[in-house]
Amino acid sequence: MKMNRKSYVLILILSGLILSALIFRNGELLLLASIFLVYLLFGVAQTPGNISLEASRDITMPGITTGESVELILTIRNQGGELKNLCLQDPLFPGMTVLEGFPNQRTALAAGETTRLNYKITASRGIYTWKTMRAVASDPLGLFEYEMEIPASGTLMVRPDPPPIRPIQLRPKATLPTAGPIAARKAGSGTDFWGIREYHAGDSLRRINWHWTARNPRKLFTNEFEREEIADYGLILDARRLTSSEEVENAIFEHSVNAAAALGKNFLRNGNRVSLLVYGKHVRTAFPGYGKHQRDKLLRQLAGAKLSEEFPFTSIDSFPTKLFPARSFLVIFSIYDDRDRLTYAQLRSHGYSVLLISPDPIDFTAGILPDTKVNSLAARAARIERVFHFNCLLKLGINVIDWQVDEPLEPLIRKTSSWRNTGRINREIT
Amino acid sequence: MKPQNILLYTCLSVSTASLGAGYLLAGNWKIFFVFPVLITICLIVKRYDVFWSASIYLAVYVLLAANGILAELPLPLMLVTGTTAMAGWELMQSIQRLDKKSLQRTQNLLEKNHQKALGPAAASGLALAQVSSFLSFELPFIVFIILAVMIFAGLHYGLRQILQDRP
Repeated sequence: MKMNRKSYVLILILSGLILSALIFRNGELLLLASIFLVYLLFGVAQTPGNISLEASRDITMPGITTGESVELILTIRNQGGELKNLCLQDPLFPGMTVLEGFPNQRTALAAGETTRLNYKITASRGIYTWKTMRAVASDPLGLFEYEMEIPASGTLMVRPDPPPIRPIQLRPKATLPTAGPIAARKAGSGTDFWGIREYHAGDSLRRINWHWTARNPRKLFTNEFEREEIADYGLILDARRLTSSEEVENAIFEHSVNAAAALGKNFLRNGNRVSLLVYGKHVRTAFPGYGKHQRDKLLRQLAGAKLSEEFPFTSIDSFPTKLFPARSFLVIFSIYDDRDRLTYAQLRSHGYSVLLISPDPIDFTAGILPDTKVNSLAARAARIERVFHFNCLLKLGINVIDWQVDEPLEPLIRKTSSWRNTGRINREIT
Repeated sequence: MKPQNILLYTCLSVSTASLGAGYLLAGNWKIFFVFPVLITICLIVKRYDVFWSASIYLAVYVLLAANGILAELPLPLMLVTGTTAMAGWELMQSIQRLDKKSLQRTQNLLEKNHQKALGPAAASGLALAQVSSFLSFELPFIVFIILAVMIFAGLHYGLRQILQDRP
């Protein structure tokens, strides 16, 4: 039990009156003081003696996507004596918005009585874990308070909800031996013409190339089509803080998470095998998998992705190699730090196809800074440096998308994946 | 209007009337300049924090009542001022605490609990002070000091002990 500012004010007035009575040798001032003394004693006499509260938390949907709302219901049961003045508070995390109801409430609870605190919220992407709720019990006059944390655990996961994109096919060097949408650079059953070969027994007559057969008497020729298979995709989300501007990086990171979620969903919808690595101080992984189950896994890992202090990304050895099967296609989301160039080179040398999607922090920062000549020159210099680094990556055989986060990513990926644009950066310095 | 609000306005009016009447009986009509100034200050502070606005009101009224006692103004009026100012201070905070976050039934229950506690506390304080005013002790100053020290010590240790015993 502790005193609050209300009781301190009362004691101050009481002390002032008693001291004044002493100084002025006036007993009548003590009579005035006695009013406050009696009031204070009434407060003390009514402080709750036996406090025992139990709480349980019920979250209607423990997993939601950004933009969806969820209702939280806290049931509080008084196991002790009567509480005439009880304040209940459920902590809200940054990024949460209350839509209906209130996360705090003042109430009175008789012994054995139960009350409910329910409210509806939306939240930004993340995993939120509650362990306790706060309760403050006090006398009816609110002079003396007893604060306690009541265990009421619960977890809410808010997954990213990227807008759907049309199927994107990035062509890796190798595919998996299962029918799918990716052209496998091998002859087989598909729809795209691949070549002509001599007829083998068992070939379908519908595939015989009659023109070629007519030109070569006594021989039959069959059309071949390019086999279509599924592929292995690895998504790497760089969750290291690489710049000093926390605000800019947080905003950009959210775009990267959404882009990773959109691409992951897209690859999985086309039947491909996808894995994920969120690389920061805390590494989050989703091992290669297919289908809806894998999609949920990816979104769960992305929901908990957080930017953290820098973690050295210096060697390929620090990658869990089982995550990315050999010759798979890696899509890396990173604002890019030139110290990572060696890692990119190692990834290429290990046979991975790599696409770096780099959200541009320079344009984002330049939009926030005042429009002065110095700032615009600084931004231009930073852009030149960035393009230089990207050109170095291109020489390593890494495709790069320099992404201004306010423009849609889908057309940029399509443009980059076309053979005409291989080895080029999608933007020029202005 | 809610019963809490009616009580609050009653307390504010009674405290102002009794203080004004006490000073006016002594011919000190300048007291009426204090009220508008005080109201303005309280309204300004109320925008930031109701507690400090109410506390300024209470402190000024207690100060004026103490000054009135020293100036030998009618004691019962000053005691009424002190009691009703304290009740007003308490009600101002209580009304602010009972916002619309709680259900109507809960609000009524809290109001009832509060009034049940505030009424006897204020009434017994006033009664004790009024009854004690009829007693007339001629105590030596040293006894007076000892009594004051005992009150302080009692308050300090008593409160500490009671609050420690509670959870």
